[in-house]
This record gives sequence, C-alpha cells and structure tokens, in this order.
Amino acid sequence: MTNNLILKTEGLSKSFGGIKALDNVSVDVNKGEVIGIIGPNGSGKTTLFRLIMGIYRPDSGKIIFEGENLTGLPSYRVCQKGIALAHQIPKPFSRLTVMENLLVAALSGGRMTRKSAEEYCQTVLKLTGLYKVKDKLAGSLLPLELKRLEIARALASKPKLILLDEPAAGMREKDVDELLEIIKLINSEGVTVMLVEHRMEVVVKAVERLIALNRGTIVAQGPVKEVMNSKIVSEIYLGRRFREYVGAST
Amino acid sequence: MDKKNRYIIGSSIVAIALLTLAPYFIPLYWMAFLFFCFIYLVLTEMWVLVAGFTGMVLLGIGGFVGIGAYSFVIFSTCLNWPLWPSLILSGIIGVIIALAVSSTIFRMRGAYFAMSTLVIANALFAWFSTWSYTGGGAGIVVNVKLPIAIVYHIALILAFASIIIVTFVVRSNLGLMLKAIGSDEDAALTVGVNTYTCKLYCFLIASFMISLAGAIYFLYPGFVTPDAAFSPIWLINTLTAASVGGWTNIGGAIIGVIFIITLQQFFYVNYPGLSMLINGIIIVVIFLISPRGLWPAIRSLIEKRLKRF
Amino acid sequence: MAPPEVILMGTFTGAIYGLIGIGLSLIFTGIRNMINLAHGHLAVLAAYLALTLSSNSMLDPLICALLVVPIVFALGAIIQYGAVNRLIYRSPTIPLILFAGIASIIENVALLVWHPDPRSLAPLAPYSLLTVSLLGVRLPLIYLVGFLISLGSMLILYTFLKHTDIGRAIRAASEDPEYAECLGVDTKKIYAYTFGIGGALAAIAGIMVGLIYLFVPSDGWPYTILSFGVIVLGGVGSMRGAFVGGVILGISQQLSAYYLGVAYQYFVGYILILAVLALRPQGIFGMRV
Ligand SMILES: Nc1ncnc2c1ncn2[C@@H]1O[C@H](COP(=O)(O)OP(=O)(O)O)[C@@H](O)[C@H]1O
Ligand SMILES: [Mg+2]
Repeated sequence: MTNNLILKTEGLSKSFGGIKALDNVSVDVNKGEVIGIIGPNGSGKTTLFRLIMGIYRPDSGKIIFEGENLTGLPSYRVCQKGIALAHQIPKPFSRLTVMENLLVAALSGGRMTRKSAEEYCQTVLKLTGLYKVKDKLAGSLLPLELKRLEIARALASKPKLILLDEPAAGMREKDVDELLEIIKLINSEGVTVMLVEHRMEVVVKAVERLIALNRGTIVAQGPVKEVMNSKIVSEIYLGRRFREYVGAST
Repeated sequence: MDKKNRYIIGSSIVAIALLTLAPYFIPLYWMAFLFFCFIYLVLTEMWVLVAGFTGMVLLGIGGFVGIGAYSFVIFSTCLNWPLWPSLILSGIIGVIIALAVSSTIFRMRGAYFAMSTLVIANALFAWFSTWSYTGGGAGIVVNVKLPIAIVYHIALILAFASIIIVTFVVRSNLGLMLKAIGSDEDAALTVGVNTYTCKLYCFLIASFMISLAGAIYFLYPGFVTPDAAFSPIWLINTLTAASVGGWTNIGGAIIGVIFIITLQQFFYVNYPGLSMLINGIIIVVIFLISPRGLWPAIRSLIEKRLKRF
Repeated sequence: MAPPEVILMGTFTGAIYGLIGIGLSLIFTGIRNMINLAHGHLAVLAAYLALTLSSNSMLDPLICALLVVPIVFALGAIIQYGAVNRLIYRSPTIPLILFAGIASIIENVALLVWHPDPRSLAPLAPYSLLTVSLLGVRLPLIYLVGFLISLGSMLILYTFLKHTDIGRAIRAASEDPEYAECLGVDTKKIYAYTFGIGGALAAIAGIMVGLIYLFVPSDGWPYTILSFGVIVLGGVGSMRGAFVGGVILGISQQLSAYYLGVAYQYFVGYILILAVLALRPQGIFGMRV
C-alpha cells in the first residue's frame, strides 16, 4: 500500500499572525492519480500547496515525498525532487520569452542538456497550445495565455507530481475543456496531479478523489460522489449552488 | 542574423587592432581618455550583468574598486611583490570580500540588499581612512613604474575581457537563470533555480573584475587615497553610463562610457563638480523619459523610422 | 569606564540620528519599501540653506529652520509627486537609481554654491558656546538643544500620525496601499506628504547636526547610511526602535571616538550595522509602533 503513495503530509499546520490558515492537515496522494482539493475562499488550499512546495515552512507537521522527508527544504530543492506548482496568480518571468520561461524550469535541475531541454520545451509548448507565442515576451501575453504558461512552466521541470492551483479560474467553457484535455494528457504520461479548483463542473470531470477543506481543516475526503454528497460539504461549502448543479445534471 | 554577427565580429577585430596600436600614434591626452573609458567599461559591463540582468543593485560598486586599489598597493608597494601576482591577487581579495559578505547580503532583497552593499563600501572606506599602514586618509604612493602604454594595454585587455565574459554569461544557462531571477526571484525558486548559487557566481565574477579595474586604474595617477578609491563618483558615473547605454545592453555600455568620459574630460579643468551635476540630471531625466535606458530608446526610434521608408 | 559626558553626548546626538532615521523609516514603510538614497543629502542641503539664510539675515539658525524645513518638505513632496510616483509600482529598487541621481545633483550643487571646505552653523548661534550642568556633567548646551528638539519633533510626528486625517491616511497607505486606495485614499498624494515629512525630519536633523559638527557637501552619504543603520538596529517601522537605534549608534560613535580616536567613529558604527544585518536582520527590537 505505502508503495503506491507518492506524497504524504502528516499533521501540517501553518498560522499567519493570528490566523490559522492550515490546522493539522494530513493527506495521502497515490501515484498516478488526479486528486482534487475543494474548499471555500480562504480555507487554506493555496497555503497547503505552498507548504508542500517549500515556499512556506510549516509550523508543525511533515511532508513525505516518495518516502523522503522534504520538510524544510527550500523550494528549488523541492522542485528538483519532482514537484512543480502552477501558481493561482501567474508569476511569469515577464522579461523573458515564453520559450525561455520554460527553459529556465527545464534546465534548472541540471538534468538536461540545452538541446534536449529545448526539444522537450517545444513538446510542452505544443501540448499547452503556446507554440505560436513561444518567442513573445511573457509580459505581453494575455491573461489566459499566462495561465497556460504557468502550467507549461511547471511541466517543463519534468515533475512527478504537479500542483495546479485554480487553473480554470476566469476560463470559458471552451478553454476549460482544453484544460481538462491537457490535465488528462499530463496524467496519462504518469504524472500525478493535485488540483485545486473552485468550479464544480471542472472538478467532477477531472478527478477521481476529493479532499474538502474548510477553515484550514479537512472536513471530508474520498471518492468524488461521496464527498460531494456528504452533508457537511454541501452545507459548508457548496450550499445551494451545488445542489442546483447536481439537480441540473441528473 | 548570421550576416549581422559577421559584421559585429569584423568591426570588433578592426576596433581592437586600432585600439591596440593607438598608444603609438595618438597623443597622451587621448590615451588617458581611452584608458578611463576602458576602466569604466569594466564597471558598466559588470553593472549590466549584476543589476541589469540579475536585479542586484550593487550600490557599493566603489567598495570593490577601492579594495582592488588598496590590495594592489599593499602587495606591490608595501610588500614589494612583482606586478602580475599583485594584480591578480587584488582581484582575488575582492572575491574573498564578496564571499565573506555574501551569506549576509544574499539573505536580503531589493533595497535592503542594495543598501547593505553601500554600508560595506563605506565601512571599507572608513577603515582605509584610519589605517596608518596605508597612510590613512592622506593616501599612499603606488610604487610601480610602468610605461603608460603598458598600463593602457592592461586596461584594454580587461575591458575586452569584461565584454566577452558578460556576453558569454548572458548567453549561457547561468545567464538564463540570472535573467529569471532578475524578472521574479520567488518564481525562479519555485521552478527549481538555485538562486543563491546563481547570484553568488554572478557576484563573484563582478567583484573580481571590478577589483581588478580598481587596481589598474590607480596605476595611472600613481597615488591612492581613500577619498578617490571609494568615491561615490564610481557609482554615479557607472549609473550614468548604464542609463545612457541601456540597463541590459552590453554594446550600449560602450556608448554610455564614452559619453561619461567625454563629459568628465570636458569639465575637468574648470568645473570638476559640474560633470557630476550633469550626470545626476541625466540619470534623473533618462529615468523619467525612458526607464530602460537612452540608447535602446534611440535605437528603436531609428529602427521604426527606417521601417517606414 | 567612559566618562559620563561621553555617554550623555552620545545619547543626545543619537536622538538626532534617531530623528533622521525615523524620516527614512517613514518613507520606507509609507511608500512601498522604498529607500530614499538622497535622505542624507536632504539633511545636508537643509544645513546649507540654514547657513545662507542665517548669515544673510542675521537671524538665528533655529529660526531660519522654520523656513528651511518647509522648503525641504516641499522639495521632497515635489520629488515624490513629480518623479518617484511614476516608478514605484515596478519595484522598490528602481527608485534607488533615481535617488542616486538626485543625491549627485544636490551634492554637486552644494559643491558649486558653497564650496567643498567644511562649514558650521555654530558661529551663527552664539549660545552654542554655552555649557550646561546636567546630572553633574558639564556639556555644551547645543547638545541638549538638539536632543530636546529631536524628541519634540518625534512627539509631534507621533501625534500627527495618530490624530490627523492625513496621518491616518499615511498609516493606511503603509499597511496596505491597494486597500487604502479602495477606501478612497489618494495614495499618490499621500506618498507626496509622506516623502515631504520624511525629508522634513531629515532637514531638522541636518540643521541640528550642523549646529554641533562641521559639514561638507559629501556628508550626505554617511548621513544616509547612518539613517539606514538606525532602522537596521531599531527595526523597520518602529519609532521607539528607531530612537533606541539612533542612541546606540550615537553612543557607539562617542565611545569609539573616545577610546580609539575620532577617525574610528564611523568605522565602528558601520561595523555595528553590518553585524546586526548579519546576526539579526529583523533589527534588535523588531517591533512596530
Ligand atoms: N502570506 C500570508 N500572510 C498572511 N495571511 C495569509 C497568507 N497566505 C494566506 N493567508 C491567510 O490564510 C488563509 C488561507 O488562505 P489561502 O490558503 O490562500 O486560501 P485559499 O487558497 O483556500 O483561498 C486566509 O485566511 C488568508 O488570509
Ligand atoms: Mg487560493
């Protein structure tokens, strides 16, 4: 069983001043799965990702990745171990071209030569639909292109586990479908995906398992249907909107 | 592209050949002029690398000039060591200082980093103002007798080397990482860039070259004082050259440097303060009208005009 | 043991450093973590303006300060409103370059107008020769005057920030500029006030220092570094911390001048700043007002 785990967090807690952003959160992520994390605004989803990535240090708790304790490692080391994060708010290298943005990620571990990195980045650019703009400065991209660049740059570091923080925010139906395609493709290459998502229609289509957060604690987890139908989740988080959605789709 | 490269290489070879032979047919005044240009070219190219590309605002640039100058005086004059070891060692002392302070200053970012380099430069200035071994505030004579043409040639080599080094670093993988750091350091960290090491390499290269430039510069006046060696003029002149030439423009630095030295020489005899006053005004004005620098703005303007015809 | 007058003089000059440091700190916290690299130059400029005004009008330098400080306030507000406001949104380091230019302008204007030889305001203030007895120690009256004026300025600033609308807006813009803007604060205008006030504090300190010591045009640089040192020692954004930081720097200068010689006073101060940066980058106190 443990062999199948890629990531395990044990009792992660993090406070900012007086606010407990995350309180004793333990999650298990299986190798090769797509797992969703839902929760209302401010429930600690981004904080969880940032802890895993090593951007914040946990106040207590452990992060185990492939059996190795990553707690306290700086984020560049975490990235080199095989975890990549696509930020909720894109953080492009705006003075670099799109291609260079990806190259930075691909070359930073020192595992690829320039030539193989370039080839690999081109594949990623084609996959994410950014190939046409590869020589543009990232600072000149449109908001939706920036969201794609976030994902593409995360992929360029060849992660085993990719953390996607609300990738569909601000997207229309058509873009969301493309995004779902991309997630599927990534996953089919053997990359484990953790997906934070606000929009239910995306979550339902993309993931097998769900973790629901509220005010920094896990309130439910398990198969999608189970979590969504659980009383606590529909009460705290989804409320009326979700029931409307389920009503409409069934 | 290929044609452009060939053109650049061709004209560089001609320029270097002319500059190498220059001491044999130009008057002393112009040799000094070129010598100042070479020294400031080193500083400006290093500024472009460290501040322009990587975003580390090295306000304490004069600290490295001064430490290079004083190390050289100590080795060559106080200890009477031969020229070349003294010269190389003064660069290495700069690197050692840079290494010693790196763990402190790299913990800081932005304005705090910039200010702490300035504190270091001024601490060195205060030290050499009091240290009687090197003559304290009164300064010390550099007891190295070299023909002026040799001094000129050493500076030429260093200036040329700095252009080559910055060009290669910027094109290398390290350069890509440095540009990423300059663009967004936090983002660079999360995509796996070891920002500390990358910044350290960049900082060490710059400290070596700037310290060497400081050592070589004072061969010309033959006299080092703390006021001259650690002067804020090093910073202001370099900033002006970089504003004129463009913050991330390796070739533009040449234009910027020629500009500041022309200004300096023009006012030198009658109003020494005036060129620094004008420099200050130029920094401010260029910053307000074209924050990436004057030369890049002029170039894109010319290119637009050319396209229209 | 150092004689008590050394400690007392250090405390008094240190309060003046605290004042100039609070000016820098106000600008730093108030305007998006920006460092005013020309801060010390504003102080030196104020000293020169007071010198010219006082020697032409035969008025006391402290009375001239009533005119000079508003002038420097206006100059600071204009610099911020006309120039810096256009740059700060890109990064906190970018204005540094601009301020380096401004510092060079002020320094070299001073060189051309007032020449490089050391000047002092003391000859224009006859009472600077008087001495007072304090805690059984005799020391020049001017030190006490500097101390009291610095403390008074700090109190006025504190009351101003606490109880006036502009003061509240300054604090709001320093906590969260975007949010303050949503509440209807015109941050650009507030930044101009902030910079003006920071500059005015530097001006008061510059005139006080000018009454005690000699000054030259290039003194702007060490003044700026000492101001930075004050916020390094005292912690960013803390008025009490800045005061204590200033006093520590003042005492360390007087002590090193006493034991090692005047030449070492700056060196020791700089090393102290570097040591704190290396060991406790959040400052010795690291508290907020
Ligand atoms: N850097 C930070 N500083 C202070 N508070 C923070 C910081 N990051 C997150 N928080 C707080 O932690 C809580 C959780 O935030 P976050 O993880 O961003 O939630 P989510 O991503 O689920 O919307 C919020 O109350 C937020 O205000
Ligand atoms: Mg979030």
